[in-house]
Amino acid sequence: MNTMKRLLLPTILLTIVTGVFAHSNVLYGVDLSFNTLFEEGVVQSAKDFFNTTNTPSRIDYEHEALIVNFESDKELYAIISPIDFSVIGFRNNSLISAKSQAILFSKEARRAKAEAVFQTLANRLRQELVYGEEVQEYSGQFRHTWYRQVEGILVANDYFEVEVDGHTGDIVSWRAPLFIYQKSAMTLTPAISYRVAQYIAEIRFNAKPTDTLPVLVIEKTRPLWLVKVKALYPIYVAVDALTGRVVYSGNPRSPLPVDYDAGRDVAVIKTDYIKQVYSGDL
Amino acid sequence: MKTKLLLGLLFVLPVISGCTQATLDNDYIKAQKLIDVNSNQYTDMAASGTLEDGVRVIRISAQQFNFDPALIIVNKGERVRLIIEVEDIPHGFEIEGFNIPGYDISTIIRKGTPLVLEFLADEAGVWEFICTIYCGFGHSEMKGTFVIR
Repeated sequence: MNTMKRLLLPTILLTIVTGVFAHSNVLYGVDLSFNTLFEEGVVQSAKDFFNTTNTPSRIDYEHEALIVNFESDKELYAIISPIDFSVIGFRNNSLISAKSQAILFSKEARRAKAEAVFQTLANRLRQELVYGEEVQEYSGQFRHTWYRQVEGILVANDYFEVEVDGHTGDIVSWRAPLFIYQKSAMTLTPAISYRVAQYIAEIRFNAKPTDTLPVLVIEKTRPLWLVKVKALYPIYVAVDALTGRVVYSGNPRSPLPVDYDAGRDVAVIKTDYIKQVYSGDL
Repeated sequence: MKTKLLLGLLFVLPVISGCTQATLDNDYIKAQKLIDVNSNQYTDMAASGTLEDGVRVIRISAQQFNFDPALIIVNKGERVRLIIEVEDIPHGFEIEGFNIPGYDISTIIRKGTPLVLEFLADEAGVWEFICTIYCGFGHSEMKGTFVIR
């Protein structure tokens, strides 16, 4: 009976549900009245930024930052750090020019506009941010993104974006990362190889490999292998590079730079846990 | 000379191919071992809470920025009653990806008014439970693991 139980349980638990945990990272219409000083600090900082006395229409939450909306229909908001109430971004859609207008700013000029905003960031942020790419938005805006990389490894959700209007050169929006997790707290070396992670994804999801090889990213402080496989359709499987557990599946939780291809040459340093598993002691 | 080279290649190539295959298989075995061990991690742990009239009752304390206990284990087929009590400011509760019939995940849980959820644990798996009401810097760390085995 015990043997049966031991055989059945792994089979049952292999059906682990791994959702995309969107709810915890994005909340709309949050109430800050649980701490009035905190609420006042967040709101006042946003008001000062826009030089307005208007009351915010709504406050949202995204990846630990607070988004103070003034005119939701016009996408006018400031992004406030909950740590020191500093402004870490804004958006003002009224600065977007008409879709039909010509792109007057060259790629170099747009990059220079974005770079000027980047240079206003604190040195400690700039040191770890690496320029990624420019992407054209639907109506003549160009989004420039810098990604945080520690020793060449991407840190999920820590990126800096600037959106430049191609007609006027105006900065429509920018957003800076919080850098909550310091480099010293991060484990940058995987304990399992990308090939093992690849097999874990294939076995767990009864999937086939794709042409895209796994890449290493840091999520908070832990390394993850992002493995792209084809189950019913192509999905990413995030495998904890320290334990081999599947953390989530679906779309990547954080944008990846175009052509990001790092991690497979990073030395694998087996932990005691991994050594025990491989030797059959666990 | 050419014949010797061809014979040499005929001998070497299968050896190289065999080595590559052996490496791949070794990685496959490692992957399978990890899957097995990770899947078994909750097997020998005691179930959470207490059995009261056939219902597994689990009391969960919620406060900035954690749930206690943060690991909940129940057995498949059990009727489960979660009693979530808030210790400080309002919080919320959701087991992500797991449907509790009739429960609205935007429910605000306030101190002194526990949230009681009762459902049948009819699907084996592992889920994350989280706070659904913003509760300050650290909110995203307020989570736990819910296991039906």
